[in-house]
Amino acid sequence: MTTPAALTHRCNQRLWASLALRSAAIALVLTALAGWLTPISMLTFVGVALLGTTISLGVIALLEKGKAATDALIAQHLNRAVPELEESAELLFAPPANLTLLERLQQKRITAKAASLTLEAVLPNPMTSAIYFFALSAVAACLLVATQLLFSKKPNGDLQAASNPSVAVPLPPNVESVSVTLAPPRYTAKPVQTVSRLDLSFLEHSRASFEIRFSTRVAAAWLVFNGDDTLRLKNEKGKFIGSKILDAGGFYVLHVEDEQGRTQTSDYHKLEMLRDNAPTIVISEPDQRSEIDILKTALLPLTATIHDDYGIAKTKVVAVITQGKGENVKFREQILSFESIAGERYSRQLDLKAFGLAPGDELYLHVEAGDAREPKPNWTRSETHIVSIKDTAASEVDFSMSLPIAAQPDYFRSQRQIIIDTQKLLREKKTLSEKEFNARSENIGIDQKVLRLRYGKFLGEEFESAIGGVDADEIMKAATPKDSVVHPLMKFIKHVHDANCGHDVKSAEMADKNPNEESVEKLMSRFTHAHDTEEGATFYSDGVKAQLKAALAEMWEAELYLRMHKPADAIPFELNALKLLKDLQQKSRVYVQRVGFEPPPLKPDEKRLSGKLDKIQSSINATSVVEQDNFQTVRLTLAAIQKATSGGTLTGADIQALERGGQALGDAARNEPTRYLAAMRDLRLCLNALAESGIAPALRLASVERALLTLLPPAEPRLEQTPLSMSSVAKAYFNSFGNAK
Amino acid sequence: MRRPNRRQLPFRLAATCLAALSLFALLVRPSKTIDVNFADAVLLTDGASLEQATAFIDSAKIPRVFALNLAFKSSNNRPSSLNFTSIPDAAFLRRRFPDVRTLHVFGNGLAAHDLADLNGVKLHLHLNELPDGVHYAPALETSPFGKPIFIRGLYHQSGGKSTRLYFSDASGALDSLLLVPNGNTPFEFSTTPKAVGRFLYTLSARTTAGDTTAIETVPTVIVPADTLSLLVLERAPTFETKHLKNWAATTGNRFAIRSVVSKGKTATEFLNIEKRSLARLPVEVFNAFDAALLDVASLAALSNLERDALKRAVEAGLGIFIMLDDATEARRTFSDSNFFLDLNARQSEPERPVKPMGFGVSPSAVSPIAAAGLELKADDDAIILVSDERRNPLVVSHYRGLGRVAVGVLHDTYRWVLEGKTNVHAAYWSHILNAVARRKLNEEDWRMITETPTVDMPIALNARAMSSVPVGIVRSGAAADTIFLAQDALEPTLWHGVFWARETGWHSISSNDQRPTWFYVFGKHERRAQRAIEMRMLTKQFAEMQSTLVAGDARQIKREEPMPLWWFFAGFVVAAGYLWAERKF
Repeated sequence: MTTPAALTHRCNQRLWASLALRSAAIALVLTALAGWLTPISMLTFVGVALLGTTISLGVIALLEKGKAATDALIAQHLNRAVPELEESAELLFAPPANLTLLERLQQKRITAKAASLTLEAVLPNPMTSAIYFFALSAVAACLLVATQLLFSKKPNGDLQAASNPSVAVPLPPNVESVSVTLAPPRYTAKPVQTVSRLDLSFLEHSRASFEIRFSTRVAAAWLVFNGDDTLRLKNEKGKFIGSKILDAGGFYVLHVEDEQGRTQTSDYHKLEMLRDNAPTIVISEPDQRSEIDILKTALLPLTATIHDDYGIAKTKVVAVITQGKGENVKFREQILSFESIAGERYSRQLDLKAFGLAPGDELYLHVEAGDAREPKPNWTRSETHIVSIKDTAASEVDFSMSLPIAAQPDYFRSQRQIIIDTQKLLREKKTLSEKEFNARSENIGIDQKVLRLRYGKFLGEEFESAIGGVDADEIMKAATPKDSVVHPLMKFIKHVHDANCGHDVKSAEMADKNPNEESVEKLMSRFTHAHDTEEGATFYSDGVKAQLKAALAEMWEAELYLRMHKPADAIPFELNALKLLKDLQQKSRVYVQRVGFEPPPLKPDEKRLSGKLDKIQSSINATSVVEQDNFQTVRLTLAAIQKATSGGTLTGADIQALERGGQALGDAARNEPTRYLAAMRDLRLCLNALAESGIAPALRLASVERALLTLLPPAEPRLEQTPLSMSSVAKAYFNSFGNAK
Repeated sequence: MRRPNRRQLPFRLAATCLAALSLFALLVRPSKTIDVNFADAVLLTDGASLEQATAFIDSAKIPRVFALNLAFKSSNNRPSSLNFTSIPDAAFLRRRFPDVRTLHVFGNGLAAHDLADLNGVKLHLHLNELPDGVHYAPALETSPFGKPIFIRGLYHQSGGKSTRLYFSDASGALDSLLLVPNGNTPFEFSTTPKAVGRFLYTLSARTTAGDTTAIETVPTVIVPADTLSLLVLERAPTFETKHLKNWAATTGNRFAIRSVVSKGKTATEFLNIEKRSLARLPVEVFNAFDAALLDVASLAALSNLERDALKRAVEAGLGIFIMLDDATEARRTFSDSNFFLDLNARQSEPERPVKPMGFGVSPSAVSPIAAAGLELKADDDAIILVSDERRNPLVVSHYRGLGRVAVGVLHDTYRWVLEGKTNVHAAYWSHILNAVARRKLNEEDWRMITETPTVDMPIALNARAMSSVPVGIVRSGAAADTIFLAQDALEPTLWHGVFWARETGWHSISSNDQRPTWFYVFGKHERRAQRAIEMRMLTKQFAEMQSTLVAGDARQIKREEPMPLWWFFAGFVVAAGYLWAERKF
């Protein structure tokens, strides 16, 4: 019998075992459910199930902590379940030392009784229900996994799946086993693959080692690649071996010759070649066309992303430096390498000064990369990126660069803009202070003046110091109220000097020297006949000049009012000026009628036939120029197939046509084995069936017909005689119809 | 037994009588006599709805019900209530039941051969709704090689499901069309078959959910094109002729070209044809060619005798194509100039660029070329072969007897070849010359009259034979049948016959096994909707024709009709129930 203490222990053991089983059951169902929703591999499945078991066991243990068996609980249960213990089961668990005499007697009595009983069977057993639970959940999990396997489609797309064709091509009957070891070129770092089928999918330049065992005795065996390249297999202790570097796709056939000299040919087997692609280069820095200031930065970062299937072996940066201008441009080429490589990212800092680049020069950059392909690497060249060095000397001349007004790139305003500004000023009059209003009106007046001077240039007035009597200095004074900076437009109107440039002072001195020089000229002009006047120096006609002058006069009036802070009065003059200017612009568009050479009409009938023609003979030629149809074999094969499908009996010529069609398909399969190989096989089966029974299977003929039709070019329109069926009545009708006309 | 409540006595007596009477009636099963019209009968045809027919028969009290064809019996579960006689065809009905004067037709209607036997019978139609599916598609498309085929038809759909109609060949779908829900969609698909032979194209309607709702086969025969013999007369060698002959001669067409190279001197070239003298042109020379290409100067340079010969050749079938250079040429007169240049043309600006259209090439593919300074006008009897984008004719043709005379203003079409658009050039010239050239008169011509030849159904056909009495030999696979034909009463070259196809698929017919004519026999399951539509239409037409008939003497016959028994049973139950319950109160 078991001791009472052992009973408690046993009870607890059972409890924990049942809990573990239950948690395992829960985890199994949950994992199967997860697997049903998202497909997982077997290893993941087991891992997840174990993890789930542990987690759910922990959770259950926490929840069921208080339900562990104790001596008192066991005793209580025994009292209820076993009447033979006379409600004294507690005594069984109590140490005899602590008991009274009576208790000790009773203990002795029931211990004897208990010995005859199997108390263990009376204890509750949670294992039974746990086992049922586990079995149930295992069945559920199995069902889930089974449905998932049955209804899910295996994703295909990887190389392995692609190389397994859906229709397995059977091996020749006497082939016992095939083993093809495909060793990809070493640079690809791909593992050697051994397959036990003859349809091969391989990397370019892989070495294929064939090892074929036959069930019967075979005298010789050889493989024919693409119909023209033969590989004889060596007999080595019963197995035939041979190896070849595969450098083209297509198909091949196994020929077997037995000892009686009969040759057996296998089906067509596919050679699907995966090419090693050339590297791709993308230059991310600098931009395709960029300009940099060499005075600020002399370093130019170059970053390129170069990708290749099996890694890059060589890279180089080619920099072509162009220097000089016009016809005197020199080219210099420098070849550099990348400084740092991080994965597919190649970079280098280019020191432009080290190239000897100066402002105005240009740098043409491209990157070349070659992969590790053997024997000849694939070599790629990137697009050319052009970096031009900013010519700072030229840009200083640029007037717009020195203007601080970034918002107005035009350095003078148009007449229309002046009108708009004036109108805007009038609208805002109420919100502006008088001082501000006046200042703005003044400024518009200056703009008007600038424009007037601009148009004055067309009349040769650029050297006239003051048109309309106002001196530029005066404007300057007005535009620069007190001690502020020079108005930006002043630079255009007048040559502005720095305070200490020097020649300002000099010219002032010269003016002091000859105070009467100007008046002398004025005096002289009344009596002399002046050539080369500014006005006469332009190409414009008098009408245009007059109109331009009128426009300038209007501008002058407008300016006058603007500067008198009466913009409202200036507007009519501004509008007049605009109207005159637009009118002038329209006039300046010139239309010139195109004049071409018109030859006198030829009179071939009169001219051409007027020579002496005694010795000239009329020529008569007869030739046959029917072009050979390149697809004649395909068309004949198609005709033979149609004859076979419509129940006609095939003649020897038809069968020959079918065989020739097979050759045409073979030529096509060389380039596209996946597309035409199945049709080739079908045609062979048809020919075999024809030879045996005289009837070709229609389904296979349909597949051959389909493939042959894809070989044909699209039909072109051609001349043809339309058939006509006409009754004698209709014929008579048409004849009389013609006569009636 | 005496019951206490004397007041209920009359009711009790009545109930007892009712119970006794009802019991008696249940045992005797009484019947009543009604008048029945035996001249009326119901005819159930393919697709008839039995519920509708039963309801009609019950209400109109029509005793005779016939079901046409055994197919009907097998396709419907025969309910016990409807008692009908199966008949193989309408002729059987007329033979066995000559007293039937009026037929109530249910289902899709009758085929032509059945209707022909029902002459003198008035039809009342209770036809089905229009079925879904391909209402029309050609039963056979025949086209010469190199020409596109156009499959035109009509699809009817009554549901609102989004459905596409796919046009496919053996290699897969070529084109598709979204069908109009709840209505008819006319469709046109086009393709150019790549080889000579017989091909089956498929029309299949598929819903967006992927269910195929209809699938039909369109059989197509591509026949090899017969080449042409062309005569070219020109006043000087031109690029136009050079490129035309370079293209056409390589595909086997025959050319004889006579170009004037100097006064009295010509260069004559024969391609794929035997040498013959073209110094003089009698009618025999013209008759040896299918079409002649001329310019106006060459036409005018012909002697009066030669021009007369040309005229006679055209009336006998020769086609001529005249290229005009300018308006002065159009107004040139010579003997018979009206026959050749009956033009309604006026001067336009010289050498205007035009974009020719109407010869089967999409306008975007055609680059503009120069047209002569001449604007053609199409008369009522003119056929416009090519026009510009404003529909002004550029090439027009007129009938002249059996032949045709075409006039064109384009003489720079070789530029298309120089541009590399050889297909445009080929399409232009094949369009014009095929339309103009002499027709090939068939010695024998077989036509199917039945719109949809179907297996186990009569297929009406006729033959046109110029010389002999035709006897049709129909071959399908290895089997051959002979058809004897009846001569047409009015037209001696026309012969009629009927063929019952035993197999589906391709059949060929000919009288001498030379160049057989192919036709396709559909299975019973194919073209159901189209056959139903055809039968509906024929039956309706026939019914309209027969509607003027007077019903004749309606033969009234008295007939015993058993009275329904459950009324008596109910009476018994009520009476007995009353007697039982009355005692309780």
